[in-house]
Amino acid sequence: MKKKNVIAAKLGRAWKVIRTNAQLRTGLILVLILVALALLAPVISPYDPYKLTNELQAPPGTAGANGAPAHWLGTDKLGHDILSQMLWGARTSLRIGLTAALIAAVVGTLIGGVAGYFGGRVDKVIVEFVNIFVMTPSFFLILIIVAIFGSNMTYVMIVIGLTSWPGNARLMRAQAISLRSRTFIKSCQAMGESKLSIMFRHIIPNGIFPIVANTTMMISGGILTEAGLSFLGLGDPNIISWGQMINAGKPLLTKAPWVALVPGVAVVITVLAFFLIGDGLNRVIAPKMNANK
Amino acid sequence: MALLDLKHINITYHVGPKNVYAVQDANLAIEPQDAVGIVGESGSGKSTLAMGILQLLPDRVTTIEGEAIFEGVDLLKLSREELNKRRWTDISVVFQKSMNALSPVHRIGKQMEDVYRIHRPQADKNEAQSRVIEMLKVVNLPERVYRSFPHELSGGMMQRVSIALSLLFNPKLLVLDEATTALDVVTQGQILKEIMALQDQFNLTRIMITHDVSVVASTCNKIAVMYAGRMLEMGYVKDVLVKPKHPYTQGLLKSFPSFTGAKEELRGIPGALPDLSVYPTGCVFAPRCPYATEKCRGELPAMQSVGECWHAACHMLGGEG
Amino acid sequence: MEKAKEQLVLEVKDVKQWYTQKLTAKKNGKTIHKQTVKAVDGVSFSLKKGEILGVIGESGCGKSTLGRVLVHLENCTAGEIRLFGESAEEMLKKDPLRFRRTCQMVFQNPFDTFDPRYTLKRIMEEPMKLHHIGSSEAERMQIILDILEQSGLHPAQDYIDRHPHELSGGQLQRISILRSMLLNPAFMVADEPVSMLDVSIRADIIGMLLQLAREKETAMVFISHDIATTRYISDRVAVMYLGRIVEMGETDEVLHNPLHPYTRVLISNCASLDPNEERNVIEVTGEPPTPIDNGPGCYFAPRCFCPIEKCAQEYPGMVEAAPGHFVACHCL
Repeated sequence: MKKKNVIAAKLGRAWKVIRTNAQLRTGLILVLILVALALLAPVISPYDPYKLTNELQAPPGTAGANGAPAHWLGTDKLGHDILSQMLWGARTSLRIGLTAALIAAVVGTLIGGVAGYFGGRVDKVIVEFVNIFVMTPSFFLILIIVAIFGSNMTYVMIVIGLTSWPGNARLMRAQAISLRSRTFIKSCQAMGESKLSIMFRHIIPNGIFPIVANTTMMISGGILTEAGLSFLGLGDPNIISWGQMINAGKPLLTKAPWVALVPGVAVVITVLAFFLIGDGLNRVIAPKMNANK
Repeated sequence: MALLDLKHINITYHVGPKNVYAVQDANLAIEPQDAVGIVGESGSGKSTLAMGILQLLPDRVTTIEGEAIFEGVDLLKLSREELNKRRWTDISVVFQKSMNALSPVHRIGKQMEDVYRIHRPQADKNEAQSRVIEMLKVVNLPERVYRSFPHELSGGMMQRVSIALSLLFNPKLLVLDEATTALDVVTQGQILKEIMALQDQFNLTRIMITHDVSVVASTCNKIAVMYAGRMLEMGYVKDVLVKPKHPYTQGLLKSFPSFTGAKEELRGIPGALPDLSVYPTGCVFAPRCPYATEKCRGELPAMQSVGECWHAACHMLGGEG
Repeated sequence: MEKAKEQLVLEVKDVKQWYTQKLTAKKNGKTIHKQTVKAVDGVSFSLKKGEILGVIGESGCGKSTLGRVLVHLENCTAGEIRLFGESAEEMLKKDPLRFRRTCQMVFQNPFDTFDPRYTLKRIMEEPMKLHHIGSSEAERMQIILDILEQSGLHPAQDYIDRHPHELSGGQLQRISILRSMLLNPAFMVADEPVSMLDVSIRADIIGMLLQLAREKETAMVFISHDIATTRYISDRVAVMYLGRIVEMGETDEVLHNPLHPYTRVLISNCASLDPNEERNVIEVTGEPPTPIDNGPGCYFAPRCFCPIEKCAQEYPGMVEAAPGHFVACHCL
């Protein structure tokens, strides 16, 4: 019973935050819609995304042949239904964004936490290591790795994740350094808890919030990077993604602008949605930032 | 005539849907050249009271009622601009961490001169400088402080700078809000002694807001004891601290371990501060008072005279029993 | 004389804790990049079973650092700490949990002593599990409820799911003390345990700490800047100045018959509650210095009201001025 009340109270507080923060609310609604569409892709997409129909480069709203569903967003050069491709592509984009950001969050949190909490020589070495990563132009690193290992989507996700953790590591390190001097950490130490246990049970959970916010923003970064790679022709050719679609629409920009425009707008909206959530969360953490409004 | 006369001051904070009654019906008359100590624990409303009459509380979330007559003018009716003119020149305040108000990248002397020029815009460089150096000397600071940066000074020196700053325009009333709390015993002793010397030198009237009764005992002539937003007892220090009438004052004094004499058992006051967002029906101290009766819980005790300039708000005093 | 035979719980020998500070400053015309802060600079004392030693001094005198070093929250630069004759450092290496059970600490800030995300139940349960206190879930629960009840949280059942920020400082400090005492420590450091609390609740916390220490015969180092409180709780006091103990002895002997000039200054500046009391405040000039480059002489000499020539040249050794009353001063 009690436990339920505690959870209810927590949900109530979260709801209040969402209600009062317009940014967070807009972002959440957009992402929810996006996730729903991606999940329901097999059910609601009017065509098989790989199916080549007879309507080539049909503008949005063209009726389907022989009573088939209409092409609400038109078709591309080969006759693929763009709406169906968009819905399936949303899955790819979300998966890449989430996985990459998650990898970056885990790696960044661990490395930053160790550096900040253990301090001393460990910290010095890690900070230099992070600096090297920050200074390396990550997009080119990704390009090189894709060039060497081929453009498999799994590789792409992992590579994006492994090149974008330094921001998180820096955040976590700063958090760990400030938490380290707090009394409750000393108290845990005096109670006999081991350093590793303190790091996982007290330092990371208490310092994770800014990283959650940052990770949300990094989802947009992941989506953009994948789109960029595909746009350059380095995406996974076996998978439908928005980046691939933009790439396919590139030569048709003057004749059939919708082919590139539709996925382009979708990328913008998705990136914006995650960014709104991330920024909204940031404002919730640091209420002082907008207290003087 | 009193220099500052507080009449029925009520200060309420609005926190979300709740009202927090931080100060309730405070009455206090401060005569010229008095040194009044306002004593209370955290949550007693002592700082709120001082900040309230100087209009230093955020407007949006506070309401202040009552009158604060300073030389015939109600401070609470003045606009911010009018009050700003009186601040520093008539009334000045020293806070616990006044030093944090100074800019870390400018020299102390420069900053003090800037303050001087705000109120004396026609003053030239030499006049401002000589006044600032004079004031630094008054608080026993070496002249090098004039050219120092805030981080180069210790806490005690910074607090002296704050006091020097507050005395720039010979104010009539000086409010010290926990001004020596963060300092060491020895430094605190030094500064308190200097403050008392300044009082004679500048004809100051002084309000000391503190949680430390011993500071009031050694530096003030009058005392007002606050608890949970209400004044419970006030009078001369030599009366109140020697033979306290109000059970709260008695309990508070017993909570201090004595430095001399036998180690008798220390007795604190059991219980905790009442919820200030619930308007009290009876005496605010009744829930923790060892002598509380039904009457105490049901009816607010009025301030009654228990001696010369000595008042206490308790049902157990006087004939009504 | 029976006390002398009693076992020594804690022996501290010449403990030093120096920090290196990086900075760029001009000193005597030379630019320096490092300086050593001698927070604790050679402290020695011992504690018997159940004995309470009060450590007093101004802020920056190293008393809190000493406290942290004693329970090995920091490793000291030099010196030795022995518990029941065994090196504390080795004990910590061999069996960290046994060391933590032997040495406990109560912190100054009760509002920050517990993880803000934890419920009271979890706050108490985890150290109990760690140290195998209570054989079953139900038994541990009973102990937790007892502690909450003793901390003035009634009925305890309603509080186990609360978070620390919902309690008052007094309640939190009681929980902190009781939780530490649960481990039956032989030695405890209390670092200004009441300085952040209101006066009217201080007395009860001190009373509780004293009672528990007497019951469990815990030796304690009670760190405070409040001389009157220290007098109330401790058997002996040590006065610290710039990282060193300048005077140590039986509480009333030291406080009523102070021999070191610094102790005399400190005590004379202690304000009394009695407005009629005659006060002879001994004044000192100058600011409390920092424990950096204090020179070869007595650290207090630059502010002392009765320095002699020798004071500037040589740090005075500890002398037993009266039985059990040690002072480090040349002018005795």
